[in-house]
Amino acid sequence: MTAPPEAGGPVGAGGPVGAVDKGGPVRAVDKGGPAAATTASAIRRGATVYRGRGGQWAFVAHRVSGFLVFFFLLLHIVDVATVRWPAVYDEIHRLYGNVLLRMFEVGLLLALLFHTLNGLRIVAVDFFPGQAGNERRLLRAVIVLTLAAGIPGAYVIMKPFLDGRFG
Amino acid sequence: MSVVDDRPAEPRTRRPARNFETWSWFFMRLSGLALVFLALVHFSVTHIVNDVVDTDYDFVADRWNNPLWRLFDWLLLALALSHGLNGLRWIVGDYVRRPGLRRLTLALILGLSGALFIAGTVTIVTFSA
Repeated sequence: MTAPPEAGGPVGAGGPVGAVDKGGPVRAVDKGGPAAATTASAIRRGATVYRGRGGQWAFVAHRVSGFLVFFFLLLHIVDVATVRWPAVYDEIHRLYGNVLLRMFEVGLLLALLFHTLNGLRIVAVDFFPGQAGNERRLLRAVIVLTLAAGIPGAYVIMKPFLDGRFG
Repeated sequence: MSVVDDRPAEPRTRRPARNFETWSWFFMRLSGLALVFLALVHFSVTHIVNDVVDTDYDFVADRWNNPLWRLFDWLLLALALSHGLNGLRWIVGDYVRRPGLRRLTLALILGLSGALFIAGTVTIVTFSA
């Protein structure tokens, strides 16, 4: 589908052509192929490939994080729907306090933060063309802010477990 | 989609066609901006300010006493679902190449999202403590 410019397309382009053949981007979207898959074979197989280095990875991470958050949303709508049976609802939410599901929540937080901040970066570059030249610094800011908010957030989420309460 | 776009840049003045894909592109940016606020506030309230274990039935009943929180949650439901559905539609468009399979995949995710949108809306609207 040729949608209007996506993250990592025009934004991160500009590296040498060879960059794609050596690096991960091709493999990242072309899991089935041999490790040495060339750009051309990736295209024949229908993969979406840019030669955007950081921008390419941001594009892949944006899709993966978006997919994960969407998957959780589907689950979450179902678990909230049980609120009409209070006992079931409370049982499920006690389960969310389990250490495994707490780690899952940390993953959700990181995916949500990255997707949000990278989305803001995409909007900035799309709506303010002057920011395209600033793209690398913006991506670094996305990563730094994701960790700066995500690590304290992860601590808060895990704290009841670390304190020995629950799960 | 080609790897190397060798065509010369088109003049800035050319406006893109105003078709469904243009609006879907705009929608992703606008809903995304709204979701920055809605999703982050929601996550903070249910995971950071309160512990997830404390977001029990009483917590929901207390919060949904206020119609503004119901509106907040419904907006989040509607925008997050449609934003995610459209994102998934783009992904399917990129990776599912066989037309029949693509149509089937799109129909499945549209059906699932529609059913969950109805389920979520019913949950928020009909809840009474």
